[in-house]
Amino acid sequence: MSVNNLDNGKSREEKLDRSSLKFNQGAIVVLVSLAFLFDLNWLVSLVSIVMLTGTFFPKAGLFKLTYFYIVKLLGIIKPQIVNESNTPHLFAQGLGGVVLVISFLLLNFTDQYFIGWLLSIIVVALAFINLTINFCVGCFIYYQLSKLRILYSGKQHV
Amino acid sequence: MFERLLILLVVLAGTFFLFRRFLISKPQGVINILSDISIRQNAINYNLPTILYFWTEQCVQCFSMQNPALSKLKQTYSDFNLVSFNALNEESIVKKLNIKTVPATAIISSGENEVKFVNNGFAGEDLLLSQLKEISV
Repeated sequence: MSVNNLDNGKSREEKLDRSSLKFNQGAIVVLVSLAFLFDLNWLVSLVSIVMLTGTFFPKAGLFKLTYFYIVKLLGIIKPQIVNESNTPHLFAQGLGGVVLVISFLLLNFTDQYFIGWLLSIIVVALAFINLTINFCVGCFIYYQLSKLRILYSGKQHV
Repeated sequence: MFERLLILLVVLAGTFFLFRRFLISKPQGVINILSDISIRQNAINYNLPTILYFWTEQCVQCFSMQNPALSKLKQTYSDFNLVSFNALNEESIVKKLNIKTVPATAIISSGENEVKFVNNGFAGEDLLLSQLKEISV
């Protein structure tokens, strides 16, 4: 505990661009919304693949690459670099990707059309919340699991 | 397509307002927490309102957004105590204030030292300032 100062952490070695996270969330909201509006099941699968690829191979994430090589280079969004871990956000993205995979499977291989789209809309709504009021539900789940020490890996996580 | 657009807009607006309500709460009843804290820390000026700030080491928003917002607030409006906690080390206070996530901030009034607001998630400089001013009236 400290009073009247914000000395609340050790030096960070990981670099994170917050704008890339925002772009990622915006892309998910726009693409999955379009998929729902125009009944494009394949777009749900595409977004889920991009999200899961970005989770397991962060440097190969299509949204991230689009941000770094197009959006950032053109100066459309200003980068906001911070020294911080990306782990909770990767966890959240992975969770969203898994939900979209389930949604795609339900939409294409079962007659559970309603539940399929419901799952997709939940992902859109949660990405929208993260984008607009900066509350990351996936990170919240990560935090709760850390509190239960389920995600304990040598040091405490959010 | 129009129906789907309507459903989408309703869901997004509903989720937005639901989360706003969930994240910013006014605690019911009197919660006095400064007496717990003062046992370990006597640097608090009880004549000023206090912001309790909860963070954890791996919290992206804490370092990239909440810290700068609090620093800026401290520069522009210095009349408050700022007490920061690693949320994972202060389970009893976290439980008492019903902190659901990090970053989180709680606003405590001067004098009676009651918890007036609990902000789960990032709270911007403007929101914190308006809450400090509201309890100062």
